[in-house]
Amino acid sequence: MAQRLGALDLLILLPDPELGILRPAPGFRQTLPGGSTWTELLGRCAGGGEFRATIAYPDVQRLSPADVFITPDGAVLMLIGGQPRVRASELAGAAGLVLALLRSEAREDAASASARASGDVTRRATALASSLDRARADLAKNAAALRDALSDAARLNDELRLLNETLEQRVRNEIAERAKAEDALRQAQKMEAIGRLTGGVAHDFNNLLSPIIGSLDMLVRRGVGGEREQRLVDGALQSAERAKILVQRLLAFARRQPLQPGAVDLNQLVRDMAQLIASTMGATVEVRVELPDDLPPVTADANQLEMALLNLAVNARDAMPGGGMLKISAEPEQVIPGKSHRLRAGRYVRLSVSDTGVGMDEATLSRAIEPFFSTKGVGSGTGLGLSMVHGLALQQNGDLAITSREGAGTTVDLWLPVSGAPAGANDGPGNAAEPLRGSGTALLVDDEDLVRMCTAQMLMELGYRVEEANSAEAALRLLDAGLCPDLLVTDHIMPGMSGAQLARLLTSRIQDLPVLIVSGYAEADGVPAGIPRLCKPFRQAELAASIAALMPTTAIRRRKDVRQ
Amino acid sequence: MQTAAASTDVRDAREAGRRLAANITRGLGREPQALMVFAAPSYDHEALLDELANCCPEALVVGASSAGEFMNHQRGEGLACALGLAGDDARFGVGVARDVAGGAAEAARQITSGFTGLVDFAFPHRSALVMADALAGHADLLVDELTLATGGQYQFFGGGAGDNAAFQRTSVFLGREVLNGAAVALEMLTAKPVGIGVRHGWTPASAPFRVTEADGMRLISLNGLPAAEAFETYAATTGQSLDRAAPIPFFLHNILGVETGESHRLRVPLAVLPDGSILCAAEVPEGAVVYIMRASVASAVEAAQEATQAALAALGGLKPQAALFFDCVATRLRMGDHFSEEVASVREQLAGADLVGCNTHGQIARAEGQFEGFHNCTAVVVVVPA
Repeated sequence: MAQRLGALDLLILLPDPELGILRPAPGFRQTLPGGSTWTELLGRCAGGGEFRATIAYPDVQRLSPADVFITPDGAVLMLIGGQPRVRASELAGAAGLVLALLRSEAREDAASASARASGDVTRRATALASSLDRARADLAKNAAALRDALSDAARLNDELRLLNETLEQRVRNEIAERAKAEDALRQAQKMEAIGRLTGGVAHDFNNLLSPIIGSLDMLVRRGVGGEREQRLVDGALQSAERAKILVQRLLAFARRQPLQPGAVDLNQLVRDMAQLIASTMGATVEVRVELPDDLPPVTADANQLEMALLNLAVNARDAMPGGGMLKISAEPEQVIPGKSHRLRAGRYVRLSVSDTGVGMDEATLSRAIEPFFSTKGVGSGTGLGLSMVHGLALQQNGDLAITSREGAGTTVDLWLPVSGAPAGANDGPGNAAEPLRGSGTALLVDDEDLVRMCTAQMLMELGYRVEEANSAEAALRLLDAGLCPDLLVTDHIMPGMSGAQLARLLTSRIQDLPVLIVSGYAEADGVPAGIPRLCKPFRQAELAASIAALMPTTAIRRRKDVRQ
Repeated sequence: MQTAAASTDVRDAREAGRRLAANITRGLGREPQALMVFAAPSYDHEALLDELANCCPEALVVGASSAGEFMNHQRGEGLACALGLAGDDARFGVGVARDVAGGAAEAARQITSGFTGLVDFAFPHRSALVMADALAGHADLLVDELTLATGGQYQFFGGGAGDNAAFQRTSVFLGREVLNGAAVALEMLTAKPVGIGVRHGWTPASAPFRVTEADGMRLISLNGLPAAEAFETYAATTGQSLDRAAPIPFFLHNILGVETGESHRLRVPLAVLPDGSILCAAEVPEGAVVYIMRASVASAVEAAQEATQAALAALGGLKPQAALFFDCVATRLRMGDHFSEEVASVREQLAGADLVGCNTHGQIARAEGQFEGFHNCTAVVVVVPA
């Protein structure tokens, strides 16, 4: 275009849209040759109007004329060099649109430049955003882990809260359980104490009853006195016998009654008692027996078990004044370790006696097995029935449990250990033999003078010459002095050496010496299993029978080999 | 973290290495786990590093040639100084890019591939000393790429290796190796924060100029006239003179500031070309608005103080154990003996903590809230807490 106008070059300068300084318009040469000519020219442009000047152009080494026109809005039109056919000012009108476009482009360039200048900032901002994105991703990943952890924490908190919320209740339950256990322990301790006391009393009573019964028995046998006196003696003897039974029950409760355990066929035992029980129950009570045929034999003292069963039946009857049903049932039961509160692990038969009677409240139930506790009226019961059954069960290594609810009847469960022997085998001493007239010397040892005196009288009446000693040590002294007895009858529990110890010593010195231990207790401690025992109190016939039972295996004979 | 600083002016490189190692080990009471080493270009760097490695075989060694060194009260050109680091509350690693000119992104990837802190989060604070061969270029981009490669999780500090402004041969150190055209990094994973402060004391002194033409690092024209004329005009109005044949004395005091909106990115002019254009140390964007910037001794000292305060503040109240200080070789040359005042202004705020540093060809500081990763004529202070 400049050449068409006859000039070397056309240059447009525009005010910088931001800085206000003049600078080459977009599309034109951006770096001018510079130097003083240009500094001067640019300075003159600030004054507006038009002028001619000489400037360094196209480089600093060459000078060229310039026709300069400044538009009212500050744009500079320059025709440089050559022989321009027009003035720069004449271009202004035609160049209006071009100038507007150039201004617009200049503004855009300035904006772009700013953007480029801040390009690093943008780039860094982008980098930062990118970094933040990564950080956010890491955060999200960690947040997921955190959420899981919080979830676990919340769950644990819930569990903890629940534990806290139920803590009081659990503590209450625990305390109640503990109180229950303590009650049970106290009850057991109480029963143990009562049992020990009862046993002691019973033992002393037996020692008292022994001379009474023995003496009365002798009076009866001798027919002393007239008819009236004999009735009085009979009455006294009956009372003494009742006292003996009472003492036996006490001993049963105290688990110190002498037992003769054996293998018992429960089916047979219950069948044998069914008639007796039915008649005892009366017409208003239905008796139902449900026993499986294949019940294994149990270890028990058959006589005591019969008595226990009868006791339970009577209790049931009394609980059903308006009638009802008595059910006797049994079933084998395997006790697993830890499953039962008292029973040892093993095989048992559970004998159950249930009634549909009035039942018991909790207070009554808790005391049911206490001796002398009875809900029956005065004179209607001894209060020893259940205690005796309970003691019997424990003494046989079994157990007893009572389940009852007011108005809903009572069930007494009696666990008895299964016997390894067939039914009918008897672990105790054999049955009493026929009464036998004795002969020879009987050594009688008892620390109770009255008992010893009475027993000595019985032995003498049976034909024995009796040597008495009030202690085992005294008896040994007799042997040391030359006595060679044909029979030893001794109390068991005595001050100093026991009867069992004495028996062992004597049988070691006198072979086949028959020995009979008489005792008010059933303790087996220290008493060899093979030594027969006779329970105090006893009558002469019972003593004779016990001695007779010794004879088949240990015939009385003179010992020639008494060891000194 | 335990630290120990040492410096020596012994000229024999091996003896210098032995002394540095001995003093560091004695100061720590144990062999350092990491060693930052800055040594004047006059040293036989291979021998120095070899001796250091012999004396401290377990230590990770990273460093660079420098353009002026200082350790506490000792300052000068031609020294070797080192900072030893050890402690159970820190873990160290190294990274290296052997060809930075091959691309900043790849260099950053190579460096960070040696970082364990990207996958091991045992320590909450991550930072790295980065020393780059200034003559390899791309230092600006490298820091940005490092930021990207580490997901913004690392602080970076350091600078461009120096050769006392000779711009002939600058080197970085890694173990026994002396590398050129490379960048090395010492990764620091720490239980406690590492504080970084960055400040320059430069302010616009001229009217704004439009960069009407530029080509990379060559600034061709300002306001349509050759760039040198703008500087000359400015020099004339401020009573200075710009010798186009020997412009460095002028450029030490008058540098370019590219307006970025909130601040000015400093560009150091290096030479005036025959066409009146000016060669700068880094790219100047065409169309940008620029200023000629001025600084004084007082403003430089104040900037160093502010950088130190910022670094200390970043410790969150922890007591400083040791500090690193990087500033431009141009600053040292410009301030002359007054540069000691700047170093002292840093040291005085450290409450007795060891101060080790050097003059570099460009400074690196990428910290929280600081995204201008590569700087010129800027004071960078790094504080390691006790």
